[in-house]
Amino acid sequence: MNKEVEILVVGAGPAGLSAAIEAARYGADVLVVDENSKPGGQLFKQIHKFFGSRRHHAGVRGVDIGNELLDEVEKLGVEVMLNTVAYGIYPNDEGVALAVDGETGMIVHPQKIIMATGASENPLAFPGWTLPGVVGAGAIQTMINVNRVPVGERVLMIGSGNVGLIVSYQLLQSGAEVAGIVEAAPQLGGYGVHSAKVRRAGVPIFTGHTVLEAVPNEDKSGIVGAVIAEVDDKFQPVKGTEQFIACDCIGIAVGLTPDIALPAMAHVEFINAGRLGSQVPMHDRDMMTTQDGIYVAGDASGVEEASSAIEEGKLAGIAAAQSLGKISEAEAAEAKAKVWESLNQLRTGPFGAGRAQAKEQIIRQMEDWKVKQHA
Amino acid sequence: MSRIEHHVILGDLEPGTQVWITVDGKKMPARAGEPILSALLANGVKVQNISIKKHEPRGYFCGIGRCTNCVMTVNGDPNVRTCVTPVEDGMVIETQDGLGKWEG
Amino acid sequence: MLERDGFLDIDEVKDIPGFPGMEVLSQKKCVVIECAQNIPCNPCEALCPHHAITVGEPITNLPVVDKDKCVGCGLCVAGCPGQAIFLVDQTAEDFDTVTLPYEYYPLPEKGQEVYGLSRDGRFLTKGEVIRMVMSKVNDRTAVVEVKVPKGFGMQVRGISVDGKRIASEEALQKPSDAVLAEANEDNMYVCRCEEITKAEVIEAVRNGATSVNEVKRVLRPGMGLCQGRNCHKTIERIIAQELHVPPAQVPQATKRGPVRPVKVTAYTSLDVQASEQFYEHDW
Repeated sequence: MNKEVEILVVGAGPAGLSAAIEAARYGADVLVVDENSKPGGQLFKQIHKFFGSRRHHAGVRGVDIGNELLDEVEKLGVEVMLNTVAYGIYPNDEGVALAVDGETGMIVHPQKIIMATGASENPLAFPGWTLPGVVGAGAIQTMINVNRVPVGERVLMIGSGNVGLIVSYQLLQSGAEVAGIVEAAPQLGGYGVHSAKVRRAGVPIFTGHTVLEAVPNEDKSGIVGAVIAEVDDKFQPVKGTEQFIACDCIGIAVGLTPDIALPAMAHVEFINAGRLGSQVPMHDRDMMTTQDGIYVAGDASGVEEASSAIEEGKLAGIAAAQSLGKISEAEAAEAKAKVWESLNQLRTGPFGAGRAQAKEQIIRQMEDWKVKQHA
Repeated sequence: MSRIEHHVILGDLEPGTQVWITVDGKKMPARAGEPILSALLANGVKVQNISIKKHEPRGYFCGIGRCTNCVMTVNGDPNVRTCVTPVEDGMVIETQDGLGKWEG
Repeated sequence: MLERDGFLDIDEVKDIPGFPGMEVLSQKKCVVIECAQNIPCNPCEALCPHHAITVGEPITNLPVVDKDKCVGCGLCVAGCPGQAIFLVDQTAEDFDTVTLPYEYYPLPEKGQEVYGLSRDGRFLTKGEVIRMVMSKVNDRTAVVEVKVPKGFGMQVRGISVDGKRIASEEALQKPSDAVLAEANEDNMYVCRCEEITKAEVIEAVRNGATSVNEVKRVLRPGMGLCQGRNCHKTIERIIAQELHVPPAQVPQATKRGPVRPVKVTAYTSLDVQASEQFYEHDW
């Protein structure tokens, strides 16, 4: 079975859904596919109140933002195919191959593709990291907040970015104990208000420390603890500073990597975006990649957070609708300018400025690339 | 059986529809619609497979279907990602040894 | 120090614009905003019906408290996504009160005795819950007012209802020599699927491999089920370290479909015939 559609959106997370909403609002025929059995991406495990201005749903919990997006998608009558993996660009780079329920093939021929494929959690290799009980922080969040099953009684978190801090807090809310948060850098990676929340709940934070090993139980079917140690200014462990911390689960929160396999199959050009997660598809201010008609949005275009993913999705949706002739250039320009205003606001301050710079760098390189293509 | 029954933000856990699965020959209760992995954790099963060369126990890592560390043999099919596959009543789940074997 | 320890000490709190001053707190119940980093966030500003909180433009400004306008209503306490807003009342002679946000199960009840905790979670004093608000507008964040002994109003920033979530006084343990001996990075797996150790990857690099693809051809990392998701980043770092180059310069592994594990039927059931038609697209 094959299918033709004006816009195919891959991924029904915050970026994909908001892209679909914008494009459909302007009258485009949109199909959203997602590999999961439920839409919303990772929004439904975000049970905390989001930061930002009131315009960016500040003070609203992620899960409720997810529900708002789903309501909107339904109202607009956008088709969402769940349990459907966009597994490749086949054949002859002409269509997107879908696997429905992992086994039934189907080719979609879209005029535009918006790839909002998200990101994967970075693993961290250390002796014992392959033992059951050493898991990603995002996995913990999914288990405790979505599936409502405990991951362990006492969890040690590695990484003090916002993910590590927020998941630690949510572990406490789920009734688990948090043995500590380990951070190799001399300072915390995430917001002080997040760390203050877990500190006042008795969680120790070990800045300037690294994890040396996970200690297995007798039959290696789980862990009984971890050994951590101080690090020197070259991040090397200092002998004699080792400490044993009892825990039955270790959460790894050391960042995310954009999921770029699908854009790579579409032969888009990549750029190293450093802090946004190494290789990301080069894209312009409309989120369009070096392949005409292929857009990226959200974490797949550089790892930030859900609020910026929503805004980027909007940009891609507006731009795709515009290129299909659904809206005038002037109308699109006005809509995009509004989104950019929001994005710029989200990318300010000591935590956001670096992201703004990295994004500017991507866009500047894309402009250079365009000039070269014309020459 | 252990579940997070009470939660200030999520509210009390709603009673779900109970189904039964068999894990390595042992019957276990599960909630209809939840991922296999979630049912396993609720029943205290932490090992999903045994590694290929060193034959060491392994468990899930990402929980969202990307890392493939949670694969098990389900109804005879090996390499099923348990974190994204919903349970079904009567499902037969086995700890997978290495890459597993196709049955039938 | 906030950046190192994860919490503000009391002297740091006194230096930020969200702190109204000790004198004010002895005259009236007033808001104390322990927000010290310029993050883009401003719900508190709009939450205050008396316009006692100003963030303004840019949105990264720290909230400033107008002590004269604050009536101590506490609407901002639940609305701060960072849970950094408290009310402090030091007007009574023999006790202080602290109003704080609370999101743990079970919620405290009015009249209940609770543990009063410091900014770093240490037990300071017992307190009594004198107000518990769980209104719809607070969206599941309870606002709890606790009566604490005189002098603790600026000290208590957390409570525990059940004795959980209190900083441990126990000293950390030293690991045994046997446990320490296992902390050998060379033997650790880099690739979990094919069980390849760091030492093996280093050897491959010393034998001439300079990219993830080359290491893959020698040792097979990335050819297991995960298709490199779990190992490629680590291998990039090892190559970079060995060759003394930044990790960004290490050529990345080729990405191929299928991007997720699918059954072969996902390919065999494709209607490829259709691709011979001409489809309009831009790339």
